[in-house]
Amino acid sequence: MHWRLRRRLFAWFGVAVGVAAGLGAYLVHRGVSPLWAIASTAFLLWGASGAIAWRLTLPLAELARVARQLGDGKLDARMRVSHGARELTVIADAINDMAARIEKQLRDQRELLAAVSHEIRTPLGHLRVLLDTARDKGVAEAVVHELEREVLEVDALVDQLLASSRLEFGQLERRPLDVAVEAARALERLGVDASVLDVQADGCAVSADPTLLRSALANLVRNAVDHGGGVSAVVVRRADARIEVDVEDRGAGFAADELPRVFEPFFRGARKAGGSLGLGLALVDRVARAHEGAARAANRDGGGARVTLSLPAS
Amino acid sequence: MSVRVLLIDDDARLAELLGEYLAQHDVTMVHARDGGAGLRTLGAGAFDAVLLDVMMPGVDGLEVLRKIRAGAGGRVPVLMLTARGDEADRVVGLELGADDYVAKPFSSRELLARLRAVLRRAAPGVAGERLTAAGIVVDVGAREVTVAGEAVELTGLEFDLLCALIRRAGRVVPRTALLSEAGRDDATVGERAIDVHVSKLRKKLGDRRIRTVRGVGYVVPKDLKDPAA
Repeated sequence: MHWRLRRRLFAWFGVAVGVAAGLGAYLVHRGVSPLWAIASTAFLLWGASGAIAWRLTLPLAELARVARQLGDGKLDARMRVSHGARELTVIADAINDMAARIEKQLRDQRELLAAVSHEIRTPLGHLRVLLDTARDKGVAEAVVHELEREVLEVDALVDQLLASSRLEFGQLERRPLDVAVEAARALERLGVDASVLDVQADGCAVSADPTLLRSALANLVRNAVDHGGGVSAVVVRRADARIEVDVEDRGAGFAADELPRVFEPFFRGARKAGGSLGLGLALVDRVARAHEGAARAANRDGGGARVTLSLPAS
Repeated sequence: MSVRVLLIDDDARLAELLGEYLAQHDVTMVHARDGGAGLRTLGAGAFDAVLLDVMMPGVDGLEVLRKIRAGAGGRVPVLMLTARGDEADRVVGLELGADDYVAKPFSSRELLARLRAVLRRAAPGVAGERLTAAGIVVDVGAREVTVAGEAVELTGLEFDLLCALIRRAGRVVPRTALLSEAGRDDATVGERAIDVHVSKLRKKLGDRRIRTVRGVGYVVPKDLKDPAA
């Protein structure tokens, strides 16, 4: 294809030079001073080569745009096939083909991960039933309790794995969700008394990925339960154009030097870690940022910590 | 009392393990592998309750629930088993007429407790059922309520609403599901009137015992954190 492109370019430049020379000759013939004729010719040539260069680089700019979008995880980005430079459509087709294949591969991978997660949960469910059966048959409660905790930990990790895989490529499936409803559900899921929930605004709608938002809320609550001595309040409120969820706990709060680092992956503070990988709050932060939101951590005046998830209201 | 339940779930191993667990607690469990078989089995035998998986190949649980409710004997209590995490739990069966739900992987103890609660509700007034939460004691058979030891007079509707809330103490009962939870979805009470009745109920019981979760519903706390406050 390159030689066709070069031949076309060569022809375009030839036409441009020819037209310019013709204009120059015509101007000289009409008695215009040669200096003016040369100036007009040069100007015309300049304009023509500019136009050719512009046309030539147009697909390159488009290519750069698409490459950047693909890099940002917008896998449905495609090059617009321009009709002008036919040869360049070959590049566009090749790029679009590549993008489609990457998109399919990632989609397959995500589906595989979802399926694997489901498959892991199935034996976990069996284990929980077996544990309760063992309990009834007189196995020491302390042992059963420890085993159950491990099972729940694996379950929580599967959750985080699912959420992580979604975040990795920015594959958000946004839907209108009510944060108050989701917060109530997160509390129920983790067995926390829902009377701690205080909704201070009407209509706490956000546009978010259900899996991710649920995972983030569950992680906020789980953090308070596991490391903060229990949830003392969950407040859902509106702050300007944002919906914010505060999860307040009864623990000792964060140490001052920990505060800036609590959202780092694998960070485990002085707060008792208890087998956790330290991914929970990091995930909350990533979910927040993926939705143009933010996560904050602070110590409350009356003691205990407050971790806030803030998302744009829709 | 011996109880017969039908489990509709494609996970045969779970059925085996759960059957064993429930048998220890005087519950006989019959297993159906998919929605179609489940509906046939349900039609053929007398069951006290149905445990219904949401995520099943073929006809999914919500569709089965619709069919159960549409069919003869549609009032059988149904407990949904939801897969949590991904999209599957987006529709909580409550709105569709399920009596309760637990998320997989569930604790069998919790499942059993929920099952018993659902059964008690289906057969009200049996053997002096007592419900307690937040310092409220409800004697379901005698329709008597005491708060911190003192008797409280409630209207029939208020009593039913309180029962619905207290059976789910610690969990938010969606406003839209409260009437059917209370067994009052016979259209004698408008949905708008709920708020009025709940606020009257709250006045009689004390503010802290029924909390409004704005835009969602109502919740009765399991315990009052500081009874003096």
